[in-house]
Amino acid sequence: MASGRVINLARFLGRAAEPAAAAQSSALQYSTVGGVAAYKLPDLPYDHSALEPVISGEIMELHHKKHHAAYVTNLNKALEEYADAESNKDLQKMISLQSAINFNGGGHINHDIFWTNLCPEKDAAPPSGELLAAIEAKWGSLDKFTATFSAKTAAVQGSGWGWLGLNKETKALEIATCANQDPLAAKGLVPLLGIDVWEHAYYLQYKNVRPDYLKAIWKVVNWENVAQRYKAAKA
Amino acid sequence: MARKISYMNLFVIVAAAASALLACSAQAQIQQVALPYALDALEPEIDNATMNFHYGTHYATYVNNTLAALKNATDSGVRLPVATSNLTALISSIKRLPSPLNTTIRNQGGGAWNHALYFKHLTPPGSPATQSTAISAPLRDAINANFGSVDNMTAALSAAAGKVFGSGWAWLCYTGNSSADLAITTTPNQDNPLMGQLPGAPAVSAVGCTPILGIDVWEHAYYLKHGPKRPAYLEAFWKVLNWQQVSKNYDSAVQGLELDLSEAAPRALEAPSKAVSAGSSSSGSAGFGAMAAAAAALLALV
Repeated sequence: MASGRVINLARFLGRAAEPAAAAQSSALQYSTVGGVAAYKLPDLPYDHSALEPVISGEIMELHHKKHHAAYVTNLNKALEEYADAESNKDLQKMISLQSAINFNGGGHINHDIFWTNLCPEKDAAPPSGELLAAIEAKWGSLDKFTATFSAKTAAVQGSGWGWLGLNKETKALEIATCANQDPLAAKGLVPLLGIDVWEHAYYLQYKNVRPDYLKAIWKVVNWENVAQRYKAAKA
Repeated sequence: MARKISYMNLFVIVAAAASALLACSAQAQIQQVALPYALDALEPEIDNATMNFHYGTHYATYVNNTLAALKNATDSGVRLPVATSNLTALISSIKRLPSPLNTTIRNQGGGAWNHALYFKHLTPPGSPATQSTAISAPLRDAINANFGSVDNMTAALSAAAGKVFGSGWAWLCYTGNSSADLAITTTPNQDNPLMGQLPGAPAVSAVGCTPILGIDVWEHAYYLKHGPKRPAYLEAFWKVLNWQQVSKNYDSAVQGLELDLSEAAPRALEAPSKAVSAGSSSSGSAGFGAMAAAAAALLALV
């Protein structure tokens, strides 16, 4: 049985978990209820239907309560098995659990960020101040940034994410894409804004027209949250 | 006298060239496999809406994008080592295709091939072809030899399909290995074992094998009806699988023929030794060869 100590995801995902933990607004929650450490599915900062008509309530419910919840459940299961294997010094087993931890841990981190990157349309405001200045310096204008981001993200083959990240070395903003649930941090970037383009993120509403989803989603981007992450990442 | 004969020769050669040209254009381009069933005929196992989008939009887009890329390449004078009408040859030869065509053929051409196999081996639920009695004797023997039983094999393939993370496919493949001639493998996105081991891609077990049965586990294959519940889709899949077609696929693979992914008759797979080296003109199908010969003969007379 697991010892009850909290298993830090960062051990497996390297620097991936650090940025998520660092930005106060997105610390991965875990509980030690019953003496077993377990990561927790966060609540959405808004109702499931709050992003309509851009993202339907049906998608948000499935996405949050089924997909993200499954990542959390499977992550906890894999970590528990890992703890057992480790205490039994079963190296073979530990190695065989790595991909489950990566997949599900990455899924948890990514979706944890994603929910905070979005907000109801009525609460959304375009970026301003330092973040806007940095975007304009790099891409010329906000419109050019969103067009470039959308084009690169639409081109992701199969399942993956589009990201706005901060390069830890150069402190410059960059657009990057990742496959499946691979964490952005593996590319040396701190995640600021992520857009999920797994089909489950848009299919029920937009079918295969991913570009329409990407065009619409800018209406519900929470730039305030992105700015907070930007500030924390630069610090 | 000599003039009469040469006119006769000219006539024959022009006629040959014309018919070769016609034969060429009849299979001049890749197209979607024709469905032997209506889009709503797989209900309730695979719903009408999914079939409409999956066949009518996703698959159609893969084919259109493949055609556009090939047209672009040939219009720009790019030399290809295989005929543009031969989708199986294109994806089998993907490592010999120039960039960036190789990437487009991987993603779009792979999509076209994979969906051709998939839709061709589905059939209305309850039809005789879905019964395990429809499995040919040679295929049944091979399944029993490799997996113990049909149930074992379908369970193993479903398990593999369930484990695919992200978008991809699960395959039952013919390996050509006399000691273990069937294998189960999975590939990400629209990759296919026929492409070989692609740089940067995760290791594909039984790489190079010929798929005879494929399960699409991209979310678009099941999300409209089942949401995230991939296992429910996998259970339904077996109720619409056309074992007769899978048996035909096995038979073609064993004989070294290309799978019948269209209405056309199977043609021989290009053996590697016959592969055209880079720099020589494109050839590969009989049509091209006849046309080239006829054209050369015609020119010789002028």
